[in-house]
Amino acid sequence: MRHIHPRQYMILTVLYTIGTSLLIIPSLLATAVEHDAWLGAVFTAVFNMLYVFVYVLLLQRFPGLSLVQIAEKLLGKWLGSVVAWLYISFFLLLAVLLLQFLGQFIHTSILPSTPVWFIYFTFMIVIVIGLAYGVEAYGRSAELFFPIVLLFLGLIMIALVFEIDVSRMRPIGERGMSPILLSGLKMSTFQEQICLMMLAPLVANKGKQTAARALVVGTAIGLLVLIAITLLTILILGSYNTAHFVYPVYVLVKKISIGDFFQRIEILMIAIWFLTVFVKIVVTMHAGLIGMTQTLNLKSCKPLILPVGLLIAIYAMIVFPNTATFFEFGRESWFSYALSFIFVLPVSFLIVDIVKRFVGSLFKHEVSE
Amino acid sequence: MERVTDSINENAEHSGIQQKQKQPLQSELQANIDLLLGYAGYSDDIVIRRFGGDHGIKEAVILYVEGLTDRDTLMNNIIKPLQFRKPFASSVIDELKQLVSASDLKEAADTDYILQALFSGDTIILMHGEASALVASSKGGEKRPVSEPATQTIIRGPRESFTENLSTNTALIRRKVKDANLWLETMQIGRVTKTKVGIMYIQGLVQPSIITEIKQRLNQIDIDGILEGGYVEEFIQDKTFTPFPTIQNTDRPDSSAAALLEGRVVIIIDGSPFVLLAPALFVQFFQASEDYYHRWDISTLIRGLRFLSFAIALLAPSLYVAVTTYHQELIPSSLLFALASQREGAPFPAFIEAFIMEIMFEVLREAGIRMGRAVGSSVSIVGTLVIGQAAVEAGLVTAAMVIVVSSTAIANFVSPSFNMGISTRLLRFGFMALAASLGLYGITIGLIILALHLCHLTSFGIPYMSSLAPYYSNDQKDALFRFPHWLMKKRPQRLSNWNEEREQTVSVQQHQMRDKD
Amino acid sequence: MLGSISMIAVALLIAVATFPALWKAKQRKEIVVASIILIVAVISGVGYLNKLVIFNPIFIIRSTFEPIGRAISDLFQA
Repeated sequence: MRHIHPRQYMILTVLYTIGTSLLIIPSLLATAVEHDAWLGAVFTAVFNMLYVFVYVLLLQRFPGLSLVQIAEKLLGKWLGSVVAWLYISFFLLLAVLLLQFLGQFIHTSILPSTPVWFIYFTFMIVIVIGLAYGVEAYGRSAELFFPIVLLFLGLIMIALVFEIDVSRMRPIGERGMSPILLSGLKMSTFQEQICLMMLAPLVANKGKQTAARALVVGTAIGLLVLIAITLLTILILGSYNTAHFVYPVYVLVKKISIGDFFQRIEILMIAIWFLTVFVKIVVTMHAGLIGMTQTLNLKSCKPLILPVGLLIAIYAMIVFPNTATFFEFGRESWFSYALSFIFVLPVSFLIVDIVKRFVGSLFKHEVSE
Repeated sequence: MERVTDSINENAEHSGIQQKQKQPLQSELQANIDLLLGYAGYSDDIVIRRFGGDHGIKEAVILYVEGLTDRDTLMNNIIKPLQFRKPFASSVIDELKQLVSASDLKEAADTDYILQALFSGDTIILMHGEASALVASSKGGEKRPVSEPATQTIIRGPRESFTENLSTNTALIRRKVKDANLWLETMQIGRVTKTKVGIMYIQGLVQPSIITEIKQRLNQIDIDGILEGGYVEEFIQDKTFTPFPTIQNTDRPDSSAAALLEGRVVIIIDGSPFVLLAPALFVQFFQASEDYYHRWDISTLIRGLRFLSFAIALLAPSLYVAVTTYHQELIPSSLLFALASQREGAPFPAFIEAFIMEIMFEVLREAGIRMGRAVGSSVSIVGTLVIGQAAVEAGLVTAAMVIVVSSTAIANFVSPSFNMGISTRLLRFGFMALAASLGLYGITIGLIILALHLCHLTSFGIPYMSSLAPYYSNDQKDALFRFPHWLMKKRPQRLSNWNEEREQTVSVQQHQMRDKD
Repeated sequence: MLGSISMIAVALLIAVATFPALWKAKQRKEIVVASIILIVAVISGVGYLNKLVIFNPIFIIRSTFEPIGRAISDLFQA
């Protein structure tokens, strides 16, 4: 059984939570609630922590089991398999979307003359290598990347501190809480920590440092970063710009210029972003593969890595003909679809489990009398 | 020249390497002599010296190989006593045992053992009427004296280096670590070369699983000959397909002693001054013994320099190619004009140019190694200055490219471990190819794959990137930085997860003895 | 055309590289599952490149979840 240290799990969680969010969420929030985007981010964090809380409860009630196994245990073979396959399809589709998003971004911003499918396939090769080496390897790689990512983010924040104009944030809550809540809810479906739950059985718990704690701490850190960055974009770019740029954080980093020399560091931003998205796609694919291995009772997921990789790379070409449809999907359909998997189903698991135990204890009680 | 052992049985038929059971000794003296010499083909360097045989003294014969034996021991301790024997009534063997004053004297009847001892430099004493022989230790012959290290030179620190003799080497290490817990085990590897290989480790410091693993892998080596540590290294290293070394080698006793103190194993091979240190982790290839002899502040900076040079040696050409080909907007405008004007007349695209220059440099480097001392220095001057300069002036390559290639080469030499330098030499071509096709995106995915690969490697069960990933906060004192000695209280956790305090004594017996005082 | 051929070629390559080892290790189920995935991938890819209408899961998700999404949004606006 492969094992990773809880600290590596926490680092994976942080990088996963940051994932794609840094690039897309500020813009989407600003479009919805303008200069209260940072409040939207706060609510995103709140909702996210709620979901993670549900996962923690599930982890505690079913130690050592992955999500798919929990489904099968609670709902029986048939219904459990159906739910398992629904989750697997969710994971794989998520991987497709992530790959597509990354590929489009690279294609539009730094490699315009390279065909998109080439970018999909080359990145997929890296991911396949990561999966083939196993969770220990990519967990340790995440540990290596982590200080670099943190350092860079810290650097950005310090470099931009002087450009803050607090007036851009005011007035606060002008439109009332409910649009802010709605956008926070919508954005909270972009972090998908549910995939990390599939990896929880692989973590070697060491006393107090358990997978559950790592999940909570990691999510918290990632969300703090998200709030900070959103705040920065609003305070520096203003709500109009943030809403109208597709990738406002990228624009933000472009503005950094210290002396005449320390410029153009958005390339570093892109490199950092590769790292976080890499972690996200690897974990998501791994979750899907683990799900398949467990439902079908296979010995290991190794033989499936290449076929699933090919499948995802090909589908990355198919799913959205252009960026506009992609963003429309992201705005309208994604959040309810994702919410069912991120929140509704896990909560139903909890409810079913509570009911089962309650009914079970009732029966036991009767028998013993 | 060397062939692997698969053909050993065919050899036995064709060329007659007789490794089969040899006939035992008999009581007849002449028969024994013929037996032993027969197996050795009456080689001319085996000398036979007869003693006695008349005047009532039983005949004795000594056999030795000229050149492998120590003259003085032979003359004074073996030949002299035997020459002036007086007849005794008791058994001849006991008489000889008392006469011969060699430092090690054994009685043996196994022909294999006797022949091996003979060809190791011992003297064989045969007696009439005895079915066994005496093996007297007389190893000697021409040896290189202990001198300065050839490859890993330092400014401050011990200047001894290992020699080709196993016992000299083990003695040099024992002089550094005088603890009784430094254990030595030897074994013989190589069917034809019968090379003696020794393993040294400090009992109680080394993780037991590592020792068992190493011994097991050494026992599995089945080959005709072991000429150098490199053979052993390729046999026992973890079988992952990687350009990175997982075993370190050194010809310095102080590095070996330091490794022993960290909980590693030293493998010494008779016949080569380079010993192997196992297991070896990534950060250890950036440590040099000098780091610990100079002050900590300069050592930390120089260590940082080493990591920087590693990055330069790996990435400089590829970054240059990527930026000039795909991402010109990254270069500050003044530099951009200079580069653009140079590239104006350049006949080849940046990648081809870089590739050709790098290959030229590798050729020069190899040539410099093969040439003797006299010519070697002129090659370096000729190579770098003249050829580089001339190529630029001829318009074949740009001056910037020459700078990039030479900085890469020099950065490569900074690495204290030659085998880590080899990995960078190999990998930079891969990165250049990635840069030429995909620009910075290519370099980034190359780096991600590199990180994944490095994190996947293990050295004898220990993750290769230990101290960085898995991150041991205690180890940071000695991985990227070098904290002062008075702060480095605990041993690095990467190797001694199971035994921590540096001051902690190692064996229970010592505790008990102390209590008794 | 070239794209379809290369896709099929890659799929075949994957199959040829991995299946013999699996066959020897008696992991028959894995071979079946892997082949199914490869076939689905190739059919989808080839279909897309040649402009045939092939299964795109996004349609299903959009038709199911878009109304739900709008309903929830309306809930909040109210």
